[in-house]
Amino acid sequence: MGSCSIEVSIKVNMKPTQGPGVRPKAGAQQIGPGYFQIVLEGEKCLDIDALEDGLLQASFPALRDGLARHLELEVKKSRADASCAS
Amino acid sequence: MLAVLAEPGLKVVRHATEYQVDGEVGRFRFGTFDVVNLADRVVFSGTTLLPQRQGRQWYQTWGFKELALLLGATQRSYRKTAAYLNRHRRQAVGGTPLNTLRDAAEAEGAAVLNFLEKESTRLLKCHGFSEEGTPLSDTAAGNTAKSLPATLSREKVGEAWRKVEERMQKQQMSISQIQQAAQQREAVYEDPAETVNIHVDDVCVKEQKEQRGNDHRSEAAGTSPSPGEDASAKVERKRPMAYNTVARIEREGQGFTLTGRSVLGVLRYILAFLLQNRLLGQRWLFFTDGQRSLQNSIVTFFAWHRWMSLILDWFHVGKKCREELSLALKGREIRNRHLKQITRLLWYGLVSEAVEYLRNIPPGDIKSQASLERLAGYFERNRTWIPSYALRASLELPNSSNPVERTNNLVTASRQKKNGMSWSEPGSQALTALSAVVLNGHATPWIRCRKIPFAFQQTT
Repeated sequence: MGSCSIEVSIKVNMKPTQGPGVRPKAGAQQIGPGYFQIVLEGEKCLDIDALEDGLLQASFPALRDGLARHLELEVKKSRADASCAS
Repeated sequence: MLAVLAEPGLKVVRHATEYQVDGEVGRFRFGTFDVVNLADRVVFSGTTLLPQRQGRQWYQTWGFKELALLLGATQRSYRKTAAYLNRHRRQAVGGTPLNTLRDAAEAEGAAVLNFLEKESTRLLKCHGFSEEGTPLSDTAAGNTAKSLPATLSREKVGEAWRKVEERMQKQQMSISQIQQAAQQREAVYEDPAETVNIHVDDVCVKEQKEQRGNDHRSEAAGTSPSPGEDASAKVERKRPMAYNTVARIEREGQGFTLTGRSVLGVLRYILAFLLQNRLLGQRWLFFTDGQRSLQNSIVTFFAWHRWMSLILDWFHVGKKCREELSLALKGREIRNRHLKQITRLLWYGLVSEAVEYLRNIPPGDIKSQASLERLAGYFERNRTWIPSYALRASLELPNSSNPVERTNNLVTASRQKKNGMSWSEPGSQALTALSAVVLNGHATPWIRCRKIPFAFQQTT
C-alpha cells in the first residue's frame, strides 16, 4: 500500500476590496472544492488578532472538507476494488 | 514607509530581535525591519506597526486569551490548561510554559480589576458623586425624587399573614407570640418589580506563604497545637487567608456579578453599576451574613440612600445558632431541643422572645454561659436586620443570600478551594475577576474592546 501525503497551502493576499466577490463577509466562504476564502477589511492586514481569527475561520472548514472528501473518495475506491475482485 | 525609503541614503535592515506571538494557532516568531540612515540611526521601525511589547514579551492574541485565560485557567489548574492548550495547538515542545500562563492570567485579572476601578470612578463622577461614593448634591442622591418605590399592598400582606398565623397556631405558639409576630405586618414589604437585591459576601482561600518554614507541614495541614501549647499559640498558627469580595446584583430575572480586592472597593462598583442602570429611585435590599464589618460598611456607605435596607440571611442565622448552642449547651439532644425553639421564634421575627428564651434556659443544660451571651448579643446587634422570614416567605420574597454563595462557588471556590491549593492574594483576586467576566458573559467585549459593560445579564 502506498503512502498518504497531506499537502496544505495557506495564502494571505492583499486584494482591492472594490469589485464583486471580495467584499468582507462574515465567516469563510467556499470558493471551490477544498478552497475556502475569508476577506478581511483593509486595515486588518496588519492586525495579528484579526488575521489569526480569519485564518482559523477559514482553516477549520477546509480541514473538515478535505478530510470528508478524502474519506469519501477512499471508500468509493475500496468499494469499486471490492466489486471488481468479486 | 515607502515614502521614507524613497529618500536617498536610507536602507532597510532586519530588526535585531524577532517579534514573538503567542496565539490560538500556537507560538511563532517573525522578523521585522527597520529603516536606517547613513549614520545608522533608525528613522523608522517596523515594530511600530504592531502592538507594542517589552523586551522578550510575547504578544498574546485575542484567541489565545479567550482560550487559555478565560475559558482555560478560570476553569481548571494552570498545569492542565497549559497541557490542553499546547496539545490543542500541536505544540507540545516550545508551547506556552505553565509559569507564563499563570503570569498572563494574573496580569489579565489585574487589568479587569483596574478597569472596574477606573470605570466606577468615571461613572460616579458622571452621576454627581465623589470618588468615595458620597453624593455631592441632593439631586445626585435622588432625594428630590417624588415617588416612593412601590411596596406590596396591605391586602396582599394581610392575606400572607393569615397563612403565617394559621401555621403559628398549628405549631401551638402562644397568643402573645402571635400578637408580637402580627406587628410585622406593619413593616414595609418591597415590590420585587421595583427592588434591586444585592448580595455581598467575602470569600477566602488559603494564602500561599512566601517561603516554606520548618513548621510548614503542621501549619499547612492546619493541625492543632500539641497538648503543651496554649490556645494563643493556636491563634498565632492560624493559616493566613487571601480574601475576595463578591457581590451579586439581581432584579427580575437579571443578574450581574462584581468582584474586588476589598469590601469598600466592591461597594463603589455596586453604586456605579446601580447609577449606570438608572436604579437610584428603586429600593436597594442588601443580603449579608452576620459579618459585622461587612454590615457596617454597607450601612455606612449607603447611609444617604433613603430606600436602602439590609436583611440578615436566614441560613446564616440558623448556622450561627447551631454553632453557638453547640458550645453553650450540654450534648446534642439538649442543643437540638433548644435550637428548634429558638430558630422557630426567629423565623417569625420574634427576636426579643428568642433572647428571653436564651436567658431562661435551665442552668443544668448550660455548659458555657459566655457562648449564650454571645448569641444573645448577636441577636441584639442584628435585631434591625431580622425580619419575619415566615411572612417574607409567604409573600414569595427572598430571605437568603444564596445567590452570592452560589456565585462565590462559581467564581472562586470551585477553582481555588481544592485540596492542597494555596494562592497569593493578587493571584486569587485576579482569577476571581476573570471568572466573573466569564460568568457575566462579557469575555468577548473584554478581550476585544477592553471594556466590561455595566449591564445586567438575563438569567431566566
